[in-house]
Amino acid sequence: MEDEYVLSVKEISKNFGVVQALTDVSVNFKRGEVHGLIGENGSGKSTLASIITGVYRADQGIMKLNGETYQPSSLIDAGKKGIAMIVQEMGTISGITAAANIFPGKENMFSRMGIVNKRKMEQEARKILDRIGASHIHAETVVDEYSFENRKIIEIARAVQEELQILIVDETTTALSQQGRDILYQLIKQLKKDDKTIIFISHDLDELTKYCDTVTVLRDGRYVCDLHKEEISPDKMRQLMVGRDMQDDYYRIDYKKPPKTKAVLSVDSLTGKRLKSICLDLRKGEILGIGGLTDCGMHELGRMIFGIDRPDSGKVYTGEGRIEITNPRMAIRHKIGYVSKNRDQESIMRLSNIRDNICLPSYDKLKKKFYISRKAENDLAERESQRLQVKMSSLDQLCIQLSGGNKQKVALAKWLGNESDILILDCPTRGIDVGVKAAIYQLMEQYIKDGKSIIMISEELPELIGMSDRIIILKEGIISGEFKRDPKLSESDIIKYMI
Amino acid sequence: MTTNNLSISVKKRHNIFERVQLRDLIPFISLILIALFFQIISQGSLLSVRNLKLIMNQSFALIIGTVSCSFIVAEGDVDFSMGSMVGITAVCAAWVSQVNTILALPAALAVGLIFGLANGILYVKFRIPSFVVTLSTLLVLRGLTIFISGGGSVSVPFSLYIFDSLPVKICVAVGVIAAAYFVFEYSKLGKMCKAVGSGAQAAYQSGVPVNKLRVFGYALSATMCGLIGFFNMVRAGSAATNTGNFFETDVLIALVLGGMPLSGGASSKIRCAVIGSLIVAILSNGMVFWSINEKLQQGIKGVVFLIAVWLTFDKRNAQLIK
Repeated sequence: MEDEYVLSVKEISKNFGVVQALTDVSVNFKRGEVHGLIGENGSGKSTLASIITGVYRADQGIMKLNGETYQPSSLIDAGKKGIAMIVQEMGTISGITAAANIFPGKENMFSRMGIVNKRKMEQEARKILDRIGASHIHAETVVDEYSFENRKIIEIARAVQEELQILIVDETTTALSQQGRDILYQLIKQLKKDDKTIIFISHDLDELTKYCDTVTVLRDGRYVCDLHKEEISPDKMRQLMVGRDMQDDYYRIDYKKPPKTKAVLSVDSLTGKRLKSICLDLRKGEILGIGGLTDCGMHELGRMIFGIDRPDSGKVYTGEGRIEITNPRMAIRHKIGYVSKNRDQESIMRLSNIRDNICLPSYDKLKKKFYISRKAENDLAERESQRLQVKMSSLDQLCIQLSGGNKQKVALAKWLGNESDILILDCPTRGIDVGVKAAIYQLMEQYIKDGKSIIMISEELPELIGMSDRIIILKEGIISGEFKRDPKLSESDIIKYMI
Repeated sequence: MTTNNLSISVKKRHNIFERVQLRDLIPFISLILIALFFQIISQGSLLSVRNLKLIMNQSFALIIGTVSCSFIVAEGDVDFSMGSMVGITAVCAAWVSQVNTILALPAALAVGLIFGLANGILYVKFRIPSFVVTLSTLLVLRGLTIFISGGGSVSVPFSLYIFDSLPVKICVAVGVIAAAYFVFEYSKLGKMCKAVGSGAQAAYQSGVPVNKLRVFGYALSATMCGLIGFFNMVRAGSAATNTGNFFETDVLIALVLGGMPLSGGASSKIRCAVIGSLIVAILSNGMVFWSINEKLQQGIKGVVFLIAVWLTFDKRNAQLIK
């Protein structure tokens, strides 16, 4: 009975001090299947993956690999036994070649008398890269010259070695473009054919529906159930993850045409990195969605509108007085806020606590002459973190300890506290679980009901279609299409204008 | 989900005992232990009134130096040129005082300000890393000091000796500490400096004028070095080629012993500067009572520094040199 399972974990429990991350979780993984693992932030799925790959040791429970007891002492130990993982963050080592990154710790395979035969290593690396369909990556190039995405692909190549039995993909796809994802999907299909197992951790429910044979749902550190083949659907998964019925109004449900209001932000012939003479207006009370392929220039557009990057030519205006925006301070003074897609480096200060992060742009509002009272700071931070229901132990908690969704809430709380009238959100729900996603959508809807405006830059078409009043599509730096909010609008209508 | 929900939930006001962590107490405990240790070694002389006055005189420069460089450190930067800054300002002030005594202090401050701005501008406009800039400044200014003092020393008129009084120094030190503490903890300026250290990009995108603050930090540090240079000069009666030598090292050691995170950010505190300075002062003073060979004293300071870093450095989150 146990032979058909390549890996089975039984009654695994793990706590980190006060936090009980996993309680009595048992899951069985079959050979040659794509097995999804889903759950909200805090459900324990990353902890489980870490235990399987030897990063943590379970407090209770046992694991069996191919029927034999399995207790890895480290990542490398797990690797030797055939279990590898690719993650969301940067996993390649800067400063060395792609080949060196593919064979870390295994240089002995190519060395004679202590000298490594670089040519041979590069040759073998090239073979692996070709095998996974990444021939555009050169084994002898230093990885720093490659984009984040290509470096991720090199990580994939590292994972796909001879002894691989189980590949764990931990939320990797969120940071990849379509091309990168395709390489990954190809790989998954190939591994499946070779009778290997893939454990797929992702928040992208459509992706999971498409590729998984089985999906295990975790909630609050406990096993909920398994879904098999036909049972797998985004709605079902959402429902099980959150534990309550997700109402239909996940996205906005209103479709009435908003009255033609005045423009609160105007972009006039903006030209610069990747962008060619972009003109657009943001109207009061609307959500303007901006979409396209990853490299179409929409992220750069967001930065330029907020004043972070200087355009080569063109201007950005706001408000009645047609004031030109040239840097972030100015934008903020005119009640504009910006949430970068690069959450950890750009939208929050990881090493500061929640209070400092929320109060940061609002010190002018809080101060009396030169004095900023603790009380004023606490009141503001308390009010905004309550409004967004940030899950935290206290305002003194460091942001680095928060989950992705809560970090995003803090970033939004910051601008709400500053009473911004215009928000520029770049990939606002990327890598965030369903529950928090819904909360952010509700927030956005309430925000525009209050007469404020949002520019939402997103790579997720369902989100753009579900939330925007108007959608502008960029392709290679120019506006290639504009769509109005419509219940009949579908992804295929839009994709034509993107590629 | 209601958005305008000012919930009347129980406000979690952590009492003082929950907020203070063990790590915060280490410098304070070290200070007490070291004082006790040397009090015993010196058979009671360490904390005698006469010796306390000596300690206060000796720690004056260090306290001003560490407190004023706290802004730079909070921003995650470093200033290796402080010693040379003390030297050049002292020598310039001494030179000016021979012409006109009233202008001595303003001259010291002005010279400091100018070179401090230079440090900041080289760092920010020319994008040269801060430790490279300040190391170069250290060398350049030291050379300039030697040049101006003609290889010897520049003496100071007697009339300025009245400034070498402990009450004056205590007032100045207390004033500086109080002002720094207020700005650091309760003003927009201080909070923004810490924000730069915590996450410069995020701070910039939240409207913090990162570059201006960096220049400010270096200008402040150097100007206060001018203040130190002035007092050094009046105490010694002259300014010489080696005035201020190794001062930046003492500042760095004091900051670390006081528990200041070298990576900057929100956990920087003025008390770290003050406690650290007292520890170094007592250490130096106490070693004399212990009759430790002068040559060994530097070495011992180095070992203490190493141990302090090992105990307090937050390896997971810090970047010593950015």
